[in-house]
Amino acid sequence: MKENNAPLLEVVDLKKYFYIRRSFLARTLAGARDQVIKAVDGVTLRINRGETLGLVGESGCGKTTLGRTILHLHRATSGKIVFDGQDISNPDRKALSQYRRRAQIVFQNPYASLNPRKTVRQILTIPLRNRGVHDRSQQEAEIVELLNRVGLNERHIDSYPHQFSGGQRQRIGLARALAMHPEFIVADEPVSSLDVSVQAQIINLLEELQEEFHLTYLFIAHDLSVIYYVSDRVAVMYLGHMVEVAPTRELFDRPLHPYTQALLSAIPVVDREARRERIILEGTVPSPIDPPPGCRFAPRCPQKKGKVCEHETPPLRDLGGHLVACHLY
Amino acid sequence: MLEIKGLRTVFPTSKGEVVAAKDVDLTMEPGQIIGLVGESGCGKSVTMLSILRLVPHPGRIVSGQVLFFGEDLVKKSPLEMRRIRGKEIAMIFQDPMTTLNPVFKVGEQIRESLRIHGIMSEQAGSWPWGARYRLQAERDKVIQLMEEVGIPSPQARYHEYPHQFSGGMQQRALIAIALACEPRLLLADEPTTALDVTIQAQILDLLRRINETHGTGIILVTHDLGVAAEFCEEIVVMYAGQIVERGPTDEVIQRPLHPYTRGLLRSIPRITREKRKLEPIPGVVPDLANLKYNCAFYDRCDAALPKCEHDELELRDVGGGRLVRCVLY
Repeated sequence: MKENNAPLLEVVDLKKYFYIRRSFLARTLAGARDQVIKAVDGVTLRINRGETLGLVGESGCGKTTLGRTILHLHRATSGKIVFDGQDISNPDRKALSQYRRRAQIVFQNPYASLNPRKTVRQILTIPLRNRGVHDRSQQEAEIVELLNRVGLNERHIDSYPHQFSGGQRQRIGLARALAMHPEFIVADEPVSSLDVSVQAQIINLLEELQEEFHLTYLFIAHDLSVIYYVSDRVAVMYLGHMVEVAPTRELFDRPLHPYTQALLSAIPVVDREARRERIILEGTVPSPIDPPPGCRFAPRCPQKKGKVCEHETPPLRDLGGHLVACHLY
Repeated sequence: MLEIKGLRTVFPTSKGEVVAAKDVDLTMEPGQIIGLVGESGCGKSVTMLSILRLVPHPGRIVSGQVLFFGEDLVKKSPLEMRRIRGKEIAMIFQDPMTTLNPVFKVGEQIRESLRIHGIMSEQAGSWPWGARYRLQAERDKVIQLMEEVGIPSPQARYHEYPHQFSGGMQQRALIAIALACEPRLLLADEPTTALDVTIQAQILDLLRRINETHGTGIILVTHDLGVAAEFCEEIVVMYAGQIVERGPTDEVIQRPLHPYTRGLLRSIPRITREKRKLEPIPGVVPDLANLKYNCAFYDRCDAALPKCEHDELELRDVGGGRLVRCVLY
């Protein structure tokens, strides 16, 4: 249903490690070691122009870090990011500001992502100025247009964030991202803090905007029903690794990776016919500090093959448009 | 077992009195699992807190009865209530991290409930040897409880502090506290909202097992219709402090009667074959301090009639175990 030509964004073997450094004293006297948190550990990903790629995974799996690293809000430890044919892994200032004009983000928590001391007008003026709109009356005209587009009344232009409800604030966040006329938006859990009826409004708005402005989304969420609804393709992450990438329908009909199978079976669904045989996973997600060697999912995997799972990290293999990283395939 | 009649809980505010629970009627048989669903601010939690008489100041119960095995909890003295809380009726809260006390060992916090209600004193006999035997008996019981709720190596974990537990394990510890005195009714207020889906599946599985083995009645408060649909026998839908619909789960999901329930079900993304556009409920939840119409849903309703504005509304029995508060029925 959406154009499917050259990829807009390509990520190759992207890594983002966080280091916890211990002091000299702690190292020598208490024997503490520097620790490495491998939040994103070698992710390869392609996002096509005009599509919505859903990114799912449990908390701590690195999905937010991946989204932010792609936008250079975190500096990548290693790996390559190619946006619209341009390598922007190590951009200079100019290239970075160019890139940020075309790639924007909508944050999860609409209460924390808007400056409480600034009015909507001030919040939306900053991106406009960055785009080179300096004329006051033109700024005002654009802000009014943006507000109307995201479903807010223009008389709210001089209100402060606390005067809005959660759903309305998320609309402001969306307007702020749109002000840059971006091509690509990372939506990091945009609806997870909202009530269901408001959630539907925001999801519909996101879809309308995508149609109108030909946007490409990386849609991060933990709610699989939302992901099913908005995504063209879905990528599943587990502990810093990409474990499965497939077109939405294909993934939900025929999940290959044991983790995806367990995840899908765990979603509580309203419709009886959509329920699956529940696979209850033992234990919890291990810590990304010193993660287990081999397949990250091996310690909890109900279909573990044997030694190979514990020693060798399975590569992400392409099985005809359905990518999976598992020794079973 | 539980019969709530005309319960009304109010909070005085500067804008006037907010009726957070308005004439709530609810009956429940022993061993039943009931799901209480609705959006934030609809009065689900206040109803639960009212049962235990834990409504925070300045809120208060102004009228109604809460009959628990025929005894009215609203009329009980504070001391009598303390004997009931945790022993006859236990509660699990949404956020396990803030519910557990960070400075006490988890095992001791579970033991506290046994100690206060004197569960082990009969077996232990009298002073001076009694006290020691009682302590040992209580510790054994705690370890047995921790095992039952699925905390691995309970002997060691008894002496750990809450921060050493993961979110899922903390929730299990809270369930162990709630179960310690084998209550006949368990109030679970969004017990899985803070957890990941695979952990949520584990916890719901545990709650169901408790229901089956001990015959504990459970009222599950949730905003997730999927959780309610899978876990509960009956669903109670609340809106603006009132119960608007009640019925057996499958009936309510497949043939919702109240326009609000219908709207809710149409606004959530569902994992079904054909993709259907989400239809958000228009408008916003009304200001509870300033309700204009007799039916709080009147101005958002797609089936509103002129008479809805004034007509007296009551929760009517429409047959088949279903109750609905709407003039259409």
